[in-house]
Amino acid sequence: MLAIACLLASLLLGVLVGPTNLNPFRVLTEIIDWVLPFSIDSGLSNIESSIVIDIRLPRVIMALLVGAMLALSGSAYQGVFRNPLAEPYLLGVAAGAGLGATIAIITNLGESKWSLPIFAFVGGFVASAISYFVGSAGKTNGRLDNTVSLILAGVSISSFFTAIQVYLQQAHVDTLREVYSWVLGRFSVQGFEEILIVLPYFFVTSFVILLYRRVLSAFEVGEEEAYSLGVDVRTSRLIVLLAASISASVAVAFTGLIGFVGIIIPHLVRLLFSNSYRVILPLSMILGASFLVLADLLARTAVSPGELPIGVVTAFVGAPFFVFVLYRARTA
Amino acid sequence: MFLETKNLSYQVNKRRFVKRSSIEILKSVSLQINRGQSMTIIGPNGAGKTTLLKSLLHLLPDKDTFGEVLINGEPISNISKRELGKLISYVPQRPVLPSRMLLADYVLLGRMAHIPPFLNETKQDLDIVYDALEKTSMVWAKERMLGSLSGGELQLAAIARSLATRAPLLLLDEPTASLDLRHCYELCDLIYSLPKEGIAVIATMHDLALAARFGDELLLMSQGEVCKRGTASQVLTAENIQSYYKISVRTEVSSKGITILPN
Amino acid sequence: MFKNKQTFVFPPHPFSNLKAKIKKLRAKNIIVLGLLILLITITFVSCNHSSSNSNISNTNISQAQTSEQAEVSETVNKCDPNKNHRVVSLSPTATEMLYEIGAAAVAVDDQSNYPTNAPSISGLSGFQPNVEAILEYNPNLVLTSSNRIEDEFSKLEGFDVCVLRLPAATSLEEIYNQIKMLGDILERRAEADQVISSLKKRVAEVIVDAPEVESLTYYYELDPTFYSVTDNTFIGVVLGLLNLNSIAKDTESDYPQLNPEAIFVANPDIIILADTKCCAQNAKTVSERQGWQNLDAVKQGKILELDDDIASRWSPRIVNLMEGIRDFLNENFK
Repeated sequence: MLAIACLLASLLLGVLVGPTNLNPFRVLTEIIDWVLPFSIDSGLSNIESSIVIDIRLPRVIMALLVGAMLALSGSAYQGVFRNPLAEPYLLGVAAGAGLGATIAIITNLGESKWSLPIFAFVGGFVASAISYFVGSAGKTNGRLDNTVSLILAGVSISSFFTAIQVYLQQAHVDTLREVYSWVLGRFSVQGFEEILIVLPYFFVTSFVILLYRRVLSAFEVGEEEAYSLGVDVRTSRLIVLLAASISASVAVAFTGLIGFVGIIIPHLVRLLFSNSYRVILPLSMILGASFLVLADLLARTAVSPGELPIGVVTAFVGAPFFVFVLYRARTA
Repeated sequence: MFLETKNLSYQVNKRRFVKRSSIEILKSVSLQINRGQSMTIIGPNGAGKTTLLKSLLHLLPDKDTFGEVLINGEPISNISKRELGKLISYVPQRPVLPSRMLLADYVLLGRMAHIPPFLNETKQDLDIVYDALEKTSMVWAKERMLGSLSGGELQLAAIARSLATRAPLLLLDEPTASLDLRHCYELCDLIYSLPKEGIAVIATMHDLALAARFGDELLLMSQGEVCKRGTASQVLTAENIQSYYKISVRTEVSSKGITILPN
Repeated sequence: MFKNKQTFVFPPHPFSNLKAKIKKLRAKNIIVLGLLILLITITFVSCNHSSSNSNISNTNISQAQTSEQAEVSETVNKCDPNKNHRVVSLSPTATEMLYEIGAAAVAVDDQSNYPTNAPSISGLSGFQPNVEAILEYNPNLVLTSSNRIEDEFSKLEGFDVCVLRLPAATSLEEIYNQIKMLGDILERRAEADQVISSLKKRVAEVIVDAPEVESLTYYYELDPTFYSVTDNTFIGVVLGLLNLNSIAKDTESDYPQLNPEAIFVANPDIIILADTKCCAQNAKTVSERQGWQNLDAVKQGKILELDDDIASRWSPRIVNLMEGIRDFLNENFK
């Protein structure tokens, strides 16, 4: 309840506040007008209503979706790997998407605005798939735990992809700024078309991960015992990782590398609320969404009329806040 | 027959560069157990006791396992993992106990195989969890985190979880290891009272006195083979212990059980 | 009993020689602490040393910058003027200037794409110069846009190669100066003077021909994530000559990333795209962006597409760009 109220409040704030000073009441009327089939006059000028509907609203919705996806896939990764440091980019999603984006920018493919997200998505997904199959190949032997070998595979695939990306980048120095502007994350160029593409992924992956909430709890007692509880460890791990990687890849493909949300939000939920996955998963989604909406609000307004990269804001604001919560939790 | 193994063997292939060698960890083990019976497996370290339990759980790779494990006459490789989870529950020697998990949540994990993936646990599931906590007299701690419980309480928690599965076969690997004397006996009282409720219990045990006191049927394993089986007085003779445990002992049989003392 | 006591040796109590142990521990700690302090001091001292060094070089730079003429003569003194210099250009702008005054290079970097007959070597980078690769062309004169005092190019000076630094200009005057420097060192002073006076003439014409309008605002797009420029940048100054002002004002940097809301609120008279090559933007893609059809400039089709290469350099072709903008203004605002 509290969390949902928090989400609603941040959504409201996200829509009402921006670099442009607009009458909050009129903004609300405008949005209601946009939602309803008949028209109400909000009293905003053409340009102003366009600011609300075409710029702020899609941005806030995108921040909401991406925040929820990153936090959810982060908690899923942490569950599967039984590792508190696991994050959505663990299996190489970030490095793969970075390589894909760089290739798209260098080759300037198709002049289409979709080429970058598609390439980034494919890159992220391919990288995590390779890590998965390398990491889980062969049988389990005593020498290497399955999750450890997955993490190791993810780390090596990540550095391999990053190496290729950096090489390509250096060979095409002129694209450097564009690549970096993607890496630092961007919410500024989102429209409803992008949201419509992200939405189905959002629903499917979130549904799958939420479905496996109990399995993630069972993973906590280790592979062998989870197995003895009747969990098909291999299959469910594959499905959860698949959903989480797709989710993270989609988020990364549209908005660049936004760090911190995927790792800190689930821990925040653990520290503040509960340690059970059926609480962690939904609450992470909600808190992740509101966190990113608020972070984006800051990115839009802090250096107005300029803009801060969202990735900088999430780390800059999120890190001290999390340190504070951690400190309180440890001293309480 | 509820569970039956026929000539169960398991071997580990070791490959060092080109040379291949294989070590047999289980050598043609055949055993049967029915609901309402208990079986206590004893034997020196490395005899293959834990491996035997794992093979019953279908935890070992198929290609290295030979022979058959049948549950109700069905080979376990034909049984889905979910069904198997309903049929057998398992408490390993060192269960993984996430320290920040609540006891109630931990015991609820035992209902894993029973709750359909789309639904939440029902009232019935919660009743079973409560029942399991009551049997292990751990109801008082249901809101506690596992990290705040003592070693003996944790062992009870693990047993509560496997009771919550309501599986007809319970596998326990060294349930009394690291418990004090009172907890050992209380735990064994609990475990060996389960067959009366129609549950089959297979437990491995290092404490021979406990095995002698509680076990109906004892299985003495050594080097992957079942060497002796029978009642305590048949298996726990001075000669058997001397030849398989490699230590010379004298035994004293009394009405309270068998005492084994090293010479 | 007695015998037992004799043979049984008590192990030393772990705390029996506690004091000695603490002493030992303290001694160890003190040594470690001392080493750490030493290390930190050394670091600090060396840092101070280097920072004082850089202070000196900074004053050097500022001195050099305040008197540009002095720097020119200094460079020419160091590298003798010679018509037959073997030139390697590692700056696209310098390449354009070089060919404008009728000289030629033996090799130019991979970004130099104008004029097309310049021998552009793929892999020869001006951003990450490789001294060996440059020396392979056996140059006497290397042109670069880098203006850091100590960089990879400085190493070239050790091989008797003259390094001429032609950093990014901030005004048209600096372009003329750089062309003059090139003319001096390559002994093509007459050609350089001719180029400069022709450029000056054309600029004057552009300003005269531009429509007499009140100050117009523009949004200058460097890339599709709304990076833009202020009036203080070179391109901003050039556009200012045509009485155009950027909507980006009071920003932290002169190349700010603008918030789209800021663009909407400013509702600029003109949208100038300098991301047509890099990012495949054009009037059509801009009008397809969500909500942009509400902007006056988009409604009225006042979108100007520039060649990114020309717009991002400070070569003589900047005057072509100005002429193009003048024509655009004449078409739309007369």
